Amino acid sequence: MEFIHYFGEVFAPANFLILVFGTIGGLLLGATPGLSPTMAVALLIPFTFQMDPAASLIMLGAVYTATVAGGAVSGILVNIPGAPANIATILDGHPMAKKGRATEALHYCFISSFIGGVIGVLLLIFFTPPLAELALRFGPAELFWIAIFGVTIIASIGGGSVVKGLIAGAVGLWLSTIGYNPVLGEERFVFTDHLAGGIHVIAALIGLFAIPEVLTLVGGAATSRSKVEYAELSTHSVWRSFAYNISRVKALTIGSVVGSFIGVIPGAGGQIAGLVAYDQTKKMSRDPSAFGKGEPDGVIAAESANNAMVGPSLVPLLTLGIPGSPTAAVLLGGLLINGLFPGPDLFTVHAKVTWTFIDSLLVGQLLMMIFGLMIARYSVFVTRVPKHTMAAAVIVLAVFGTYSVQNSVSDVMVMLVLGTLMYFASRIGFSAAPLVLGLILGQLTETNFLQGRMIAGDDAWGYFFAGPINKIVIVMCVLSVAYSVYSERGQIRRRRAQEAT
Amino acid sequence: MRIVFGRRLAVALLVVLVAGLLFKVSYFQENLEAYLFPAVVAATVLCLSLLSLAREAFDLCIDDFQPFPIGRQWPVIVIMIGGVLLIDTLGMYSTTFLVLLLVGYWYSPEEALRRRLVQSVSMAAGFSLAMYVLFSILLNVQVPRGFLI
Repeated sequence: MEFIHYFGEVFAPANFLILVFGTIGGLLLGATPGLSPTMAVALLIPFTFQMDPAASLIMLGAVYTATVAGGAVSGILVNIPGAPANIATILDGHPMAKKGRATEALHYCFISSFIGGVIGVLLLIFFTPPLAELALRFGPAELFWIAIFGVTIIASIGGGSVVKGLIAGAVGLWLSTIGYNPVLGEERFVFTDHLAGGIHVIAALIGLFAIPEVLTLVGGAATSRSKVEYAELSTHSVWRSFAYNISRVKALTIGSVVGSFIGVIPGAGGQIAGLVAYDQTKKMSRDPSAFGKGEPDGVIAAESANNAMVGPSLVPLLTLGIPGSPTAAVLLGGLLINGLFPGPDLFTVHAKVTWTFIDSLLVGQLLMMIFGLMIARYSVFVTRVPKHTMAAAVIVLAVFGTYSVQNSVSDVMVMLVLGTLMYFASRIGFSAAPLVLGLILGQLTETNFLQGRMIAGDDAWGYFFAGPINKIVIVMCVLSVAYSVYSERGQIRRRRAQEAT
Repeated sequence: MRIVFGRRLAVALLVVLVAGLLFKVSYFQENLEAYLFPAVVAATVLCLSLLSLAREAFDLCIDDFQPFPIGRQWPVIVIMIGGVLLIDTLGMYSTTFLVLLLVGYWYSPEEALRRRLVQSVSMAAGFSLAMYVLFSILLNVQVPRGFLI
């Protein structure tokens, strides 16, 4: 029960203030269409440099939690999900809004997010320390395979083409080698002064997530405003919403269980959690035909699932360094910047920071619900911000955020070039998440690869492919790719059948 | 249909070319020991890109190409690159103002030019001021100073 011991740290004035600001800011960022939680967390990392590690992680965790919930606001009100995790929410949330029940839908969204979120964080609290203990048994070979597993799973499960996901992950690993060899110290691929010292992870994170959003926003800037249909907000008692929400035990249970389970699977993310929970709730409903027409259970299941996913997505991140979602991959960057490396040290050497962060996630769920319910009525204004204004704001934040990392204009150039290339790559089917993960895990992978070779001497093959943990992780890598290939083939068959009809 | 197939093949070929380039710069080095990991990774990228090309050639995957309205996007790309090149000369805040003004003016849906200009100047001034307060006053980040501030 170590987490109780550090609970007071969350309520230290500075930490609590950061938690409150992070939650409110996250709700507003989440409510803004086009600003994803991943991009919000990436843009915020440079702002946390001046903070101590606990405060900085509290800020990032609060924004992560609140943006996922806040994304439902634009989904319900204007039928544009604020984040991919909220796609399932709009299926019934927007029809409810069109029927004049927008306030009620927003209430269900925040109350369900709170319930699902608390269950998810409790799982994080109880599952993380024992898993971290397991990581003690890992040597360079095991750590190398774990890093490869992280890249393969986020590359293959993220949706779209598996091969393209794996290529993106491998390109991320390659990009991480620009700069110096971590063991021999030799400079590599530095063909311009701007790349001296390599590609800074934060500059890359901001560029890869923010610049494609800017280009997407300006791509549809002038035409989209007129097409958006805004729902009117009516008055509805919070207590009535609360009582009704609590009574929907089946939808809440399905959402929380599915969300927690999917959150633990590295790479799966909130989008899958929300959609699977929605689908299961619909299938188990007495009246499945009501779904899609404004059924509150659809909102409750989807929102409890996507917030239940947040806590468990940090379990593999904090123990093994494998993020459970793209946003968790960005959080990994935040951890490493603060000198915190995933594994058992987090719960021994850095116990205070780690438990304060985890406890803040629990308190953050409550704050998210309270502020969400309070500002739901006003968040509609955020959804009306013109796209070109939002794009301009993101450009400025990205440039200032990147510059402040090392006071370097070169970082800003790298950020812009990577981001612009990523936009075009995304239009031909490549995703930013595996590339970012490859970039983050690259140095860890190479260091363990080279150390393993030194330890192994002439028998490198035997060293990397022997041992039970190595074999298990290799099998997991193969299974994750095989499963993804199998599900991609299913998708292709279904799409072709649809095209044929 | 043939255009889509040709486009997919062209994309896959482009990926193979880039992968080949990565492999060339990683593998053909004097001190291969220092380049061992990037060489292994580049070889993996090359194999995967060839697999992707084969899948496209045998029509084993779906078309995931999304069009990009480059006609609407090139101005912001030019403004961003121009802005970065001007940071050292004009300073961070003047450049920020200029970039915001240009983006705001160019992409504003407002048709009346004067109103459009007033809105863009207000937005640029507001954001620049907010950035100044946030970075120079609150976070104390040293940014390049040049023209005006």
